[in-house]
Amino acid sequence: MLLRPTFVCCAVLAALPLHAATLPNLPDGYTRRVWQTQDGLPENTVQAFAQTPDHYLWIGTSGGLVRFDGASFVLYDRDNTPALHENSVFCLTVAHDGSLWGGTDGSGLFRYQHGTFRTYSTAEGLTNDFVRDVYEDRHGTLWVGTDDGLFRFDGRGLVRVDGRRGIPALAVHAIREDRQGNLWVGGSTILSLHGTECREFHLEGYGSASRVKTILETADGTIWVGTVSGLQRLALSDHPSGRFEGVPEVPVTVRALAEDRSGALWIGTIGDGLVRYANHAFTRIATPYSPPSSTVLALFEDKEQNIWAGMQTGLLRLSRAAMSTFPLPDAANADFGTVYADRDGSLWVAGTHLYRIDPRRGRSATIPPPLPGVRVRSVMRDSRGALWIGTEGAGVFRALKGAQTQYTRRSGLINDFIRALLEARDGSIWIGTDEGVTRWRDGVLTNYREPQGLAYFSIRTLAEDRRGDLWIGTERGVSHFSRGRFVSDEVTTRLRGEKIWAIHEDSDGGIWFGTRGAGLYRWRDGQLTAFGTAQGLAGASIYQILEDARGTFWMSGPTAISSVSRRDLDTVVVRPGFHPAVTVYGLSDGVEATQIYGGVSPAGALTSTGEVWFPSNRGPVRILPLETRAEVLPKVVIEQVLVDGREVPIEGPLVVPPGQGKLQIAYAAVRLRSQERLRFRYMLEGFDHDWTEALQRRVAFYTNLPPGPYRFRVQAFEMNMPESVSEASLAIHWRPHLYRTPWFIAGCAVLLLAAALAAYRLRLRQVHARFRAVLEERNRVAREMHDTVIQGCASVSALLEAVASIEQEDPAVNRELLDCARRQVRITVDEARRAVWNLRQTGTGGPSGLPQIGPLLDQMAQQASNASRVPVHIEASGKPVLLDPAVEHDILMVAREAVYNAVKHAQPNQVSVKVEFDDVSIRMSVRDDGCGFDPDDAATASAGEHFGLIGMRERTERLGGRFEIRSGPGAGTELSISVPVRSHVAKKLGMDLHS
Amino acid sequence: MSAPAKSANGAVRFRVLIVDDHPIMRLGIAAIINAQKDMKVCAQAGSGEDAVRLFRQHAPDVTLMDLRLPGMSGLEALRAIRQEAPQARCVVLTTYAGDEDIHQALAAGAAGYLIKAMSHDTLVDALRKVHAGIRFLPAPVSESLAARTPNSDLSPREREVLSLMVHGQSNKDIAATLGITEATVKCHVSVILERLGVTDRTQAVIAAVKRGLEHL
Repeated sequence: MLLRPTFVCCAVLAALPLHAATLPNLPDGYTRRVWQTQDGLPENTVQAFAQTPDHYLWIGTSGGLVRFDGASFVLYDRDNTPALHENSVFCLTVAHDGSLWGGTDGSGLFRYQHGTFRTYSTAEGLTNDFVRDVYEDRHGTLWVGTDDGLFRFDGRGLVRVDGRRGIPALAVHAIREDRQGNLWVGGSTILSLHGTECREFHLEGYGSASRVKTILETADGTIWVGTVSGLQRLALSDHPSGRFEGVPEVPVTVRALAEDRSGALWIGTIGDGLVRYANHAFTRIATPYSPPSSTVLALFEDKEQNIWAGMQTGLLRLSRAAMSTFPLPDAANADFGTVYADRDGSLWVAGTHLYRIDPRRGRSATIPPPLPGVRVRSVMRDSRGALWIGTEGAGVFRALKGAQTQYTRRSGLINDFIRALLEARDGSIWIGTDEGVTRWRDGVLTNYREPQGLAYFSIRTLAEDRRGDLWIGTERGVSHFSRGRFVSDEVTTRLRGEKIWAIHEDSDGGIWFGTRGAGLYRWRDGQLTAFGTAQGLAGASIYQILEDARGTFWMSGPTAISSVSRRDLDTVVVRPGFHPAVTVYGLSDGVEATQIYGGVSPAGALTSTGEVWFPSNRGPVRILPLETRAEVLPKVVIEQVLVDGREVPIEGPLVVPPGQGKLQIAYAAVRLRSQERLRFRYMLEGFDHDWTEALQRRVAFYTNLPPGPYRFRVQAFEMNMPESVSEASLAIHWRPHLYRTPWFIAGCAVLLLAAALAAYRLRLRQVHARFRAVLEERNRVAREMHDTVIQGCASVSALLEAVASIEQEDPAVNRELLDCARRQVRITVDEARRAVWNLRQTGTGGPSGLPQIGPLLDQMAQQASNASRVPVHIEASGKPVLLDPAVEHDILMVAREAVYNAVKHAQPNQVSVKVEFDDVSIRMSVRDDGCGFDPDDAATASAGEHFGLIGMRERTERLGGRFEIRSGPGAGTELSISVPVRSHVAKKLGMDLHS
Repeated sequence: MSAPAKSANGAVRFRVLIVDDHPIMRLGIAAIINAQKDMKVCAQAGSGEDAVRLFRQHAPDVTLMDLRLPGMSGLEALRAIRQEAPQARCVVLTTYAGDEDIHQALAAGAAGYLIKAMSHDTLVDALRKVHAGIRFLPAPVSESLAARTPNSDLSPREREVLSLMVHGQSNKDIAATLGITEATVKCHVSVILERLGVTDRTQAVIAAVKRGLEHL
């Protein structure tokens, strides 16, 4: 598809008399716009029009089928639409089902429906592929006229109708149905068909001169037929006779006919351009500018009442407008212009010549200058009825009742080049010139220059406010003349240096200053406010400010006229974000700009009838009071969506795959009238918080869009009616990347959570393990403390309590008890130390795999030996087994008790300790060569020794081992224990569970 | 029951069975008791099993029982003795000072409760009182008992769970050991924490050991 943006402008169209009897002008203005290949048309030959229900205008050209929305063309041709076999589209029509039918120049018929094309040709029964007209009658039957034969479409294929059943074979160029249901078929001849009836008519002229090119029935029932030799018509009353009469006013080949809604007939001719027939008069529509062609191939009135003309050299649109230029002879040669509204309703226009216009009659007259060769710059009538005429180089003339007085430098005028004239309320006349101002009062002239306080010598405009103060706009600032002298205030200070070209006091006492290049200023209530394009002004240069009775400001600038309600401008001062509704009247057709004049006052005038006039290089521009016509709101369409640079089809809500987040949306308004005053704004809901004012831009661009649901809304509205909008929207769901989808994120979250949970569990387990280790250690320490310190101390306490309670009855017993207590304390200390030592071992040792009992025994033996001076030998054999610390401890305790008993009581020469490991048990024996005792007689042993033996036995038995003691008086003593090892492993496990 | 023994001066001495796993302890206790004119040691046992056997054999007037014994615990021995001889008078002499120990001992039928390392006067006083059929609880013991948290009785299952907790098992381990679900264990644990008036497992373990609900 070809998408070429074009820019819409409008030009003022003038109508010139065709014949002497015709009206001099169209009743009101039409604006004209021409498109040619440089504006986007594929070729300049425009042959057919149709408008589909979606308001698009379809244009058949020799270079393809074109869809037009009023701003841009979309081309369908052989290259981009394979279903179209021929580019030259000769005729078009829209069927009741909304489908578009088109006939081509040599490739048969096509139908465009729901976005697809289908061709109908020989295979479908169309024996001639040069289709000249396609037409649907009131019954929905489609008729196709070709160079050889008339065809009817039966839903599947085409059936030839002529050449049988009384219908002569013919070449068809036009088909129309009249209100009585007669189908008029014209070409090589003209027939009307009604049911099975066929009636042939005779046209004026013979042979090819009477070949029919086009047929139209107008609202009055007249059948108009355009033939090669001219226009012919058959009035309703003449139907029975069937006599067509020629229309002498149009003696040229008529190729196209159209009737507009106002009842005017538009006639497209070959060689004589466009003719309009209304009020029983024919008017040739003059086109003094391009296109130069006078060949009209097609005519069409769209639903917005624009007239479209297909020309040999382009596309022409005629739109009704309230604005027109008033044609004046030689107007284009002026390099300045003023318009002054006289009190009788006439207008004085100064330019190349001085003209007087009667706007009601539409007449103008050229007024001779006050002196030959003098150019008039401006005109003003004072309250006494005298006409003041400012000239270029000849001073000022005062004309009253035939008498004329000239004032020049010689007679005291400051300068002979006049730029502004003003009558003050005191009756004095102020004359602004290129060198200062002169005040005329009853023939006395007073001059004011810069030395007197004038801001600058070059005067542009003069105004008097309601207090009688004079405001003088100069090329460099504004002067304020109050009560006979120039005053300086905020206005004169702030506007120093600005080109003040227009000054206007509004009905509320606000004084407005229009500048060249610096926008508009308002002075009111001691406050000076600036307005610029940001506030909606059409431009920064204001040549003239006019306020009409409704409070509307009309302002001119170099290339545009704009109107805006003063209330809106006042609102801007209060609410800076407010957008005033500004209507812009464009004046350029894109080729040759219309220039509005300014700088010489008055640069525009308001008539008593409410007309607004501004001077331009094409004559004065006239704007009629607006009957504010309810415009048909344009239809907004979203035309193209590019996602990450690729076009995606727009059918319902858009689901977009993950990408880079680049979105480009092209939208347009379908409005065949000028779209110049159309403005767009858009918003991407879900991204934008507010409307983006796109002005006339027709594309929205977004980057870095995060995925998610969006709704693109675009609105179009008239600049001067921002409250009535039409809108289009498109839902877009931008799917996130896999890694941005909710479920993926959720999955990640779950994984993360799981990982965290696992880590937590692990940590918990570690903490538990550590806790258990700590607990175990704590428990062990507690157990050790209980077993050693507490038990030991409790025992000693019991012994000492016993000593205390016995009260010296038996010193031997007491000594025995104290001896026990002493021993117990020592044991307890040893055990406590060992408990602490064991604690350290556990803390630092780790499972070395080696039993600690060997070194511990050595240590113990060494201590005992040192204390008693009796040698103690340690002997170990077998493979050492890792013992439970508690077991090891008990064995060690038994060994210690035995060794100490031996060295203390047996007076041995030596003591030997043997430790033997095997797979199932550990055996230990402690033997001495001392005095020995009788194990069966406890009395022979000391009490301490006795209880020591009991303790050893009990310890051993607690370990599940055997305890044996062999001794006899003088035979030494051998104590041996045997403790099973495996059972300890089992017990150890059991201890873990049950302490 | 055999006839009461007579002291050297002819007075009848009531007989005491000493149960303690520590021989030196027994030596000291025996010396104290035998030094009294109205009591004597009739037998000494180093384990719970021995205690039950010797009680049967000697039928002592008062049994002085340690709670911490190898094998059969003092509490179990106490219950066994009281089951055989409901009138048996027993005094607990132990290093355990937890309120639960005291509670359990009294519940098992002990008439007196002494903490080791009390003076010999207290010991003999206790033996005499109990022999006379009077309960004897010295001030620290009765205070400890009074401080026992009311409504802190744990069900047997909760005791089991607590015991495993004290030995550092996790809920999972406990569940596996007891063959119940972890959720049930959690439920038990929360009840235990509530009953013990604590907020976490460590405190529960400490409280359990301190109060004598569990021993190491």
